Amino acid sequence: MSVKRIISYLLVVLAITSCLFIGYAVFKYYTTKPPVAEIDKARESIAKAKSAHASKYASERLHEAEKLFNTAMSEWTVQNTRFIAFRDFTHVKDLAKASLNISINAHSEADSQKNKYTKELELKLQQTTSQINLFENHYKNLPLGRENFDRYNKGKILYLEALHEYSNQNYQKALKLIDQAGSKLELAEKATQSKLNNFYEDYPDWEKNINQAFNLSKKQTIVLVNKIEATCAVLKGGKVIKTFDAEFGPNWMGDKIMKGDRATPQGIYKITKKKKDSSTKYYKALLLNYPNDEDVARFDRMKKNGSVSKGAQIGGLIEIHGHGGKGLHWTEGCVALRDKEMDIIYDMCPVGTLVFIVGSDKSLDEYLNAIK
Amino acid sequence: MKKYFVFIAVIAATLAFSSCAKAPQAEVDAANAALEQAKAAQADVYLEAEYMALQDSMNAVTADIEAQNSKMFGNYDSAKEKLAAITAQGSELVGKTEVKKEEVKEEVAMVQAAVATMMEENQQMVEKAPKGKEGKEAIEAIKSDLAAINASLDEIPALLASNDLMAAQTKANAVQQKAAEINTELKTVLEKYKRK
Repeated sequence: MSVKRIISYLLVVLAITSCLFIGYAVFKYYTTKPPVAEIDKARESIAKAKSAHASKYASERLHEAEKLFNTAMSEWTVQNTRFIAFRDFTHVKDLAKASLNISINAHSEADSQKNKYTKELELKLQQTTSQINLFENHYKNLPLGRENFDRYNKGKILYLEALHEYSNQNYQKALKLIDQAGSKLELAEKATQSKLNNFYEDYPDWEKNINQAFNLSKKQTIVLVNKIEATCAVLKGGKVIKTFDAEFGPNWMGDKIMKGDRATPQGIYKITKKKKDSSTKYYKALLLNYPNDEDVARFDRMKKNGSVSKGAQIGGLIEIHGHGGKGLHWTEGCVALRDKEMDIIYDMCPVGTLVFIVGSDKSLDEYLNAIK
Repeated sequence: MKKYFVFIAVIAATLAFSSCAKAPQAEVDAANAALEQAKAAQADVYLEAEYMALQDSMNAVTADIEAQNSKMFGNYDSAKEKLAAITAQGSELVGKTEVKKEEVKEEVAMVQAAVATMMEENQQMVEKAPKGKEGKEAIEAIKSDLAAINASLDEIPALLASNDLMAAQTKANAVQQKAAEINTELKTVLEKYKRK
């Protein structure tokens, strides 16, 4: 066999082998589908999860899905660099499918987390709104002190920020803010309740005095001042016949101890003088016998035990007078009424009329239940 | 014999050409750079939906390029068009984000100015409020309100400086609402006070 013939045979073999190989390659090319559909599905699912804010509410799962997607894409690139006959997209497809499943989970986790956050947030917002309303409508008028008001106001601003974030659907931020607001408001509320507890320690005495006032009113005109309700009532025939809005000293929550404490006294007093025209600068006035014997005895006791300074004075000139209706507690300790109401009480109450000043006609529990 | 050589040469050339097709890498890089710039401009914060859509378009084009790479005769014309569009949209998004940020800054500045005016008015009303015997202390609560508003107002410049515009906007709106409430409250108190 000549060399030429051998070469010719080899070329034929090579050509046949090539044809077979190319045939195989073409077969592989048409039978091995690239992972286009799988990758598209995974990509679309990730985009949907992101639209559902999975980056905020299911960040770990979304991150995992994205990582798998990126790995799938890298693996696809690697396979594409291979000769078509040797490409294998099985792993790419598996990775894409895993990414798809995890991104679907991320989507549903985001939805459920968002739902959970929204519910939790709405509940907290509702609770905080109640706290704020309670404070605005009832506690804010109590002389709570600057520190307590500061706590409340900081809490209120945080609450408003939380509402803003809530309306922008930033639930996580809103939750954080509402928690901060809640803790400030809780402190303010606790301090308020403690102040109310102290104030209401005298409730048994008030209850006794109120009963006495109603009993005495069956035979004579009685004035009953209720501090927490900010009212001044005239009792006659065992019942209330007139009720007026009243204003007191800014530190009305508690008994008057001494001159300058801007508190309104609590106890049983008597009208000692009626003033009008030039004798008072508050339209008309009914002077009370503050300090009474009980006030003097307590003041002396406190002076002795050092609760008040040695130079302190007990004060006086406590009146029921006009120029009220300002909507705030502004007197030095007097009870202020509107001028037209002062006319009524002035005419109804002669000198000697008993004036009962109490903190409240309800117990603390009754008061709190009533306002809540 | 020659026929065999020609046949093999044609097959080899076909295979060679099929693997020579190249992805539009320059366009891919440009589109990625545009996306990076948009992110650096905080488009993901201020125009989140648009940024996410663009990011998804980029992922789709990348997948399309790989799909073409998988073909024997890849065609990148469509991918090139889409990449050019992404690059343009990315740059546009940077501009839009800057505009949005400016809008937020302007809104915050406007609210700050409005609150400052309101606070001035509030302060003047506090000055007019009951004095001496007629109870300056009675407006302790309102003074605390004003102090809280001022404290929150003071936090806004720091938030703006740290580019936390959304937090600044939230705070500014909350402060404005609170200042408006106090304004109404003070007006009511003064009105009652005038009436005696």
